[in-house]
Parts: sequence; C-alpha cells; structure tokens
Amino acid sequence: MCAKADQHCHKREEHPEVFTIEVNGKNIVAHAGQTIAEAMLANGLKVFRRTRNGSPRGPYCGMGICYECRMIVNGIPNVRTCMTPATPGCKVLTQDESLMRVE
Amino acid sequence: MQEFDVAVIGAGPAGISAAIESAALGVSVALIDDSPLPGGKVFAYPVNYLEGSERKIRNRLFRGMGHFKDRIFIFSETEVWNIQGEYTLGLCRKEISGAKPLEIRAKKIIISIGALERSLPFSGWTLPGVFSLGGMNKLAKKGIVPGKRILIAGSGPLQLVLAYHLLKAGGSIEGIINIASPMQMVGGLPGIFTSASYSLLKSGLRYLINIKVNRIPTYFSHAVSRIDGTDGVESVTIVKLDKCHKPVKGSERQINADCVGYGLGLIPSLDLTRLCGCAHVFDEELGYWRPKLNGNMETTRPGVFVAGDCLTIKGYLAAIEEGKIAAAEACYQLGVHNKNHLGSTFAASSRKLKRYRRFARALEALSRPRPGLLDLITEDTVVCRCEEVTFGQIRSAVTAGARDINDIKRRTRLGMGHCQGRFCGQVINELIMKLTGNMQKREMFTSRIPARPIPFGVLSGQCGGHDDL
Repeated sequence: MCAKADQHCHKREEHPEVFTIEVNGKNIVAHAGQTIAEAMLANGLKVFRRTRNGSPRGPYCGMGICYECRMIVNGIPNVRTCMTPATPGCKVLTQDESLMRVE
Repeated sequence: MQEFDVAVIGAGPAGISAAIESAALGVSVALIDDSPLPGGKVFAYPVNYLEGSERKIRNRLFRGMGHFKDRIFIFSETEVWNIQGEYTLGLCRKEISGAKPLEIRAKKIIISIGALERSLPFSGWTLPGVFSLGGMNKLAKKGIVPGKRILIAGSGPLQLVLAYHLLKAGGSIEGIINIASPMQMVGGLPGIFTSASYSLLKSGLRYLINIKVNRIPTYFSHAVSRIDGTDGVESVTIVKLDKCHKPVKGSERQINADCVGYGLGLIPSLDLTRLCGCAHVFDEELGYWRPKLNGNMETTRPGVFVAGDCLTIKGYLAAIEEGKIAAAEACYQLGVHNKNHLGSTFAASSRKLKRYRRFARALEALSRPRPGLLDLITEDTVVCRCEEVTFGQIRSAVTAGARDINDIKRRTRLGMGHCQGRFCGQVINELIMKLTGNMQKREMFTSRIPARPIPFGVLSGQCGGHDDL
C-alpha cells in the first residue's frame, strides 16, 4: 500500500517575480525560478568559495556534481548554490575554507 | 519505513519514463531526484525556456507523471547515499533548514542518474569563470550570460548547443575551438547523417547556421593550454594540436576572454551502480566505463536496472525508450504482467534504440580526446579539484612506489573530496600509465558509503541540523 505522497514532496512556495537576496552583506536582484548561483552569476559575482589554500572557486559543472559552488546559506555551510533555489531575503556568504579550522 | 515496488533514482527523461511505465503496469514507484524539480538536465526548466520538440516531449512526460500521481511518489532535493540489502535505500533530503535522513525499501531499483562531463585538467581550469559546457548551457538556456567575452573550448555537440543558447541570451562569443581536426570532422559526417533523426539534423543545422551568421571564429585542432588570472579568467592561451592531439610547441596564442566553457563530451555517471556492486567494463570503442548488462537493462546485480545516459551516452530520446524497457522488465520480474507485454514493449523500442546507439557512436567519435592531450597537464596543474592534488604530487607518489589508483588515493587524498573522484577519476588511470610507461589494467576507485557528502547526523540516523555539518 502506498502512503501519502505529499509528505515527502517539496511544497513550492510562491515567490514574487523579482526580489532581493543578500550576498556577503550586499543586496542583489534575483528572479523567481533562479538558483542562488544563477542569481549571483547574473549579477557578475564569480567567486563563491575559497579552498583551504585560498584559491578562488566558482560553479563548474552547474548540476550538483562538482560541489565547487558551495557556500554558507542562512548559516548552513556546504550548500550547493547551483541546486538551491533563491528565496527572498536569503543570506549567502562566501565559504572561506582557509579560515575554517581543520584538525 | 515506506515500501515501494520500484525505486527509480534520477528523475530525468529515463527516470520519468520508467516511473510512468511502472505506474501504468500498476506498481508503486518512488522517484528520487536531487533537484528541486523533476525533468533532469534536459527538461527541468519552466516550459517557456524549451523549444519545439523538446517542449512537446517534456509536456508528454509531465502529463504522464501527473496522470499516475497516486502511484508515483516524488522525493525531490533528495540524495541517495546508501543502497544495501535487497534493497534499503538511505536517503538524505536537502533542505534549506538542514538535512533530513530517511530510509525507504524497494523490491527493484532502476538507476537513471544520467551523465557527467568528460574533462581533462589543464593549468587554470579551477578558476571561477571556467564552466563545463553543460553547466554554462544550463545558465544560457535561462538567459544568463556569465561573462562578457566567452570562449567555447573542448569538443562535442554541446559546443554548438551552448553557442546557440548564448547568442540567443545576448552573449558575445570570442570563438569556438575544437580538438578535432577538420578531416576528423568531415570523416564523422556520414555516420551522423545516416543515424540522426530528421529533427536532430534540423536543430544541428540551425545551430551551425547560427554560428556562421554571427561570424564566430572557429578553430579546429586547438585546445586551451592554460588560463591565467587571480580571482577569475584574465587571459586564455590556446595551442594547436597535432594528429594525436599533442600540443604543437610554439603555436600558443592568447585569446582575450573572461569566461570559458569547456568539456570533451559526456560520460556515464557510475557512482550508484558502483555502490550497488554491479560489474563495469571499459568500453574501448566508446572510450569510457559503463555498467555491464545481464539482460534487458539489468545489471550484473539482480534487481538493479539502468536506463539512459548512465549506461551509455545516447541522449534523451533513447533514454525514454530504455526507461520503458527497464520498467517493463522490472515489473515482469515482479509478476505483474506476462511475457507478451514485455515482448511488445521490447520490439517497439529496440528498433528506435539501434539507431540512437549508432548516432551515439558517431558523436562519440567526434568528441573523444586522444592521449596527446595529456601533455597539457603540467607539474602544477590541479588534477583533483576538491583536494587540490597536483600532477607533481601524483608524480612523487608514483616515484615513491604507488602503482594503482587506490594507492594514489591513499597517498595523496586524490578522489577523497566532495565530488568523490568523479572528475579526477576520469584521468588518473591514464596519468599512472603515462608516468610508469606501461599499459596496465584500468581500475576504478573502490566505492564506499556514503556515496554523497552527508552530515554526520544523517549517517547516525538522527535529524541532521547544520551543527552536524
């Protein structure tokens, strides 16, 4: 027997057509249906992450495989921005792994 | 724990088609995908981004999915990180508020996780502004142009598709460079013309005319040899290639570009078939690893099926047919229909499939890189993007006695990063052969759980908040 489908289906919230998201403290314009990565690239932002050696990285594969576009979104690190829809007011930070402590 | 008759992993054309066929035969289906929307890399766009036949096929698939919505359960933004027993799937739902663990059980598994882009490392390929062709195409299709002067490099049909969408989005293309020689291109044409469908030829021709009309400079037998810049692409150096794709010394020249799309065709994504313990073969003719089949789309592990580009690269039309066959066979094994139905499904699909497979081989012949291209990898070239392992470090490991890829992995951390060796794993066999000088057996990295990076909380079955990351 089958259980309720909706339980695991992601509920789509309706967002306004144009809204802003916050990237490193600055507001940028995003459109409904865009991922965070798409909104950033449309605004000319290219550096998404720094590796532990400090080299800059941005989206490469664009489909969730390479993990190069991961950023800190609403306080959660390692979020793949190419797979995460932009939502009004979401706060995005460059993930600088040279500052993260690795034991 | 929720139980399903069939679990379909990957909701692209193959996965959706398999889900519809299974549901139509009356079984319950879990359709799992890591994206927010089903459709895969071809159809996960709002309808108005798609053109002509693409739009028609998308609508047909989505209508079918809607029709059986009481039997197809969609798990969106969900990763499969574990498959064990007969079959318990470990899932991880990515949510903006934190990851959530989940386990489901299924009697049969259909894996349709598609392809990834083939790439060979070169100096500067990790800089922001360098995209895979497919990645940039996804942006361009949605009207986003990620640079002011774009260079399209590498090989394969995706170059033409990308150029078309970039121009449509108002982008400016500095040039298209292809590793194949003009002779190689002309030699490949008969294969394409005898196997491609009318609609594919029509769109191909439209893409070519588009490039001619916009006077985009096109260089054959060329590759990007290095990209320089501090926080992005500042200068791109291209080099001429000889017949074996070996770079010709002294033929370097600069191209003024701030953004590069690069890829060498597509290869199947194998992480989940490897996790299931299915046997794989290196297909010398196609130039990549693929799962070994044991009957109608069934892998060497009974009850685990594959469909679409994660078997061999053929495009979405073939993927839809393979999805149907895999689902019909899985349902036959479940005992929901008799052999006659299986026979008719198979007969209807197999003629179409033969042609698609011929077309795939013709395209692959045009996009496949030759070993000389490995000469572009210098000592300081980053081979493993995630763990920043350079070719120099691999050389030291081989000098110190490492002889197989898992040994290299242990010594250098190559392949241990977030992408789980999906990019460096494509080239490491060739690099070891080059360094040791002897042709040895190709290998794949040992597959281990978790197949995807997940928070510790998910691993222990707890709710994974961000504190666990």
